[in-house]
Amino acid sequence: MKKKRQIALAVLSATVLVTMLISAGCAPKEEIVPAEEPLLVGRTLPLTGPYGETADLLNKGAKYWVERVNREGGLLGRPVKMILYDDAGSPDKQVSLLEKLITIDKVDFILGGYPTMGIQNQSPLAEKYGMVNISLGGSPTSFKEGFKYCFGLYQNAWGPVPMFDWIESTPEVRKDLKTMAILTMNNSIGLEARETCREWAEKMGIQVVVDDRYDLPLESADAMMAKVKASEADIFMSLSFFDDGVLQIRAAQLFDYQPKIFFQFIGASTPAFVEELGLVAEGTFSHAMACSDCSFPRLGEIHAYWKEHYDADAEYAPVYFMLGYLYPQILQIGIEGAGSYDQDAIRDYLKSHTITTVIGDITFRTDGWPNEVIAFNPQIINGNCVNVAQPEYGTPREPLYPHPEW
Amino acid sequence: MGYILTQSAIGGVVMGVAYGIMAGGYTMVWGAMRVINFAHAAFGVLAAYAVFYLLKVCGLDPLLSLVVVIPGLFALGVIMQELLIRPLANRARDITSASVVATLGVSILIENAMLYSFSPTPRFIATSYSLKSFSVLSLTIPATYLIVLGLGIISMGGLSFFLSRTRIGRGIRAVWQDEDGALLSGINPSLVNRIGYGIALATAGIGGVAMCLIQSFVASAQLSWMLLVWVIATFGGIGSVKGAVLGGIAIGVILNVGSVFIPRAYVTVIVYAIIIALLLIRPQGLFGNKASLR
Repeated sequence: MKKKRQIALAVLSATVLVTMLISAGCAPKEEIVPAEEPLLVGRTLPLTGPYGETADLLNKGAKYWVERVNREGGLLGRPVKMILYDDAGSPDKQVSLLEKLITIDKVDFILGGYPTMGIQNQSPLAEKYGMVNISLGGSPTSFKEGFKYCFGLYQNAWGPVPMFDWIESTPEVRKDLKTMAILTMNNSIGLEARETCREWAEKMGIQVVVDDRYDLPLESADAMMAKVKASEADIFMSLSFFDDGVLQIRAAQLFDYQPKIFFQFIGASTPAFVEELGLVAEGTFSHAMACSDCSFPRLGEIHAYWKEHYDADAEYAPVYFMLGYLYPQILQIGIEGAGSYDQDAIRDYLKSHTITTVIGDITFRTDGWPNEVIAFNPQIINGNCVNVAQPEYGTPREPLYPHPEW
Repeated sequence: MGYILTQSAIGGVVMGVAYGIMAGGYTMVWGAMRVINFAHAAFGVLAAYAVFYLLKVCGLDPLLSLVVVIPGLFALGVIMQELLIRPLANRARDITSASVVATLGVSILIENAMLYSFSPTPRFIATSYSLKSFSVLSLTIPATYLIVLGLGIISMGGLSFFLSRTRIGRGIRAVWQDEDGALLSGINPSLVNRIGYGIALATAGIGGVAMCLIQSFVASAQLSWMLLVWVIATFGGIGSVKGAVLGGIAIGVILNVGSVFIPRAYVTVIVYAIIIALLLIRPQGLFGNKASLR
């Protein structure tokens, strides 16, 4: 018995010793990383689900950025590899998958989530791990508690502002519009834009005659459209994503409701909107944080890439494709400007310099939001979503008014 | 206001008929076999996906796809009865409670299988008549509404006829009232249950076809559809097909007309409040009988 115990003790000691030696051999060393080892950039996107159309474009834009940056020598000499997980818009997955990217996949950088709710869910995690997090932004509450590492570009409340600005400054249109119907998806994106609609309606003396809210996914718009049709509102604000926006337009056609102005919040700027609706999409106003036909640096190359790889007939790349390129571009500018992969250095550089991007010059405030409102006024004209009535961004087209018959 | 209320009520009737078709088979199984099938609406959503892909890939009209959906769902119903319900009934002390848990599990399995296969992107059915409508006294009647009403009349009329005028239908009712007595009368409860379950899921399939004609759908909708089906079956009375249809219409009208006055997002609160009130006053539902409360 005593001998067996001694043998067991010897085996155990040897095992521990060997394990320690192996671990020592595997321990991370401070070595110079070979130049060819890629930098890992991680993100999650809702590629499936009600936000899939726009998320897919963001992904395509980011992939183009990866291709391009690697072709031009990488980031400070290292190539880039993107790791993407589909979070399907689920809050649980948005958080757990981002945590996986950071702690298990050990990505060097992250890109922000989508849409607004995804950003709100992921921002605390990015802050916890001290990782620069560049995203759409979406809501003033996206960066709660004074987050230092988060950068946003756009607030949902800004969406309808350029269109309302145009209405207010165009007397013959302004006097023609007396009533407004608002159908809003019941989440922070829709509700923030709704507040803007109500504020502007009050400011311009336009009566809000329908103001309804619905949960996503919207199964049928018929009941709400009956109310909108009865009101015969001059302006129809569809504060919706792609699928519910399409349902509402179809219901408007079915019920023969013809507004003078039709605004569809998110989705109208995607190619799928025109593909799904054809001529019915013509004249739809939307929102954009990027301008397709403005003359910002590298935009021409982005449009050319889109035409070559996705749609030879398109005049411009979709706005969300441009945005998909923009977020990693900002990260790239931060890395190259700081001359470092250090998160703090990148953050500090971005907050202390005006940077030039595909949507123009951006100066970030200390809270991570841009100094100026960045919002464009696109409308679907001849099947393309193009900038209208904003001369400060180039040569705008004349808006289509009133909305063409369905 | 009259226009809005009437138009909303029309939409509510049609939506209610679509739900009522699904609830008809569900309540039949609940009443006859004491089985609460929480996977019932999941099969309805599955049928909707079948319609979508048959239209997309083969160009088959949704109504013609019933030729595939009805026998397909019938077969699934028989399989479910044989592989799950019958073994449960033989082993479980309380088939009702056991069926809730088991079929809830099945519904989650089906939902996830659909999510994996078809993605969570909402789908809509677009046919040549999807945007066609008729004007009647300034009201708009979409063509799809008329089709759903027709489906409701035929399927529920057929189900009622089956239960009251056919041997197997009377057998189902006999088993419901007294299984031992039915057995003594020469009725084979196993065969009756198999056919009854097959028919129940076939009506779920017809309901799924009706639903996808008037609204978009997604795999996760199975839960919200199921809750409404369950509410309608309770409201109409367990085991009553007539109650299921009329209950469906009542709930549909409440939902649609209610949303004229309060935001759509909150109107389902009204429905559940009404159900609670009804159950306190008349627990057997509108057309159920007290025996169904056993």
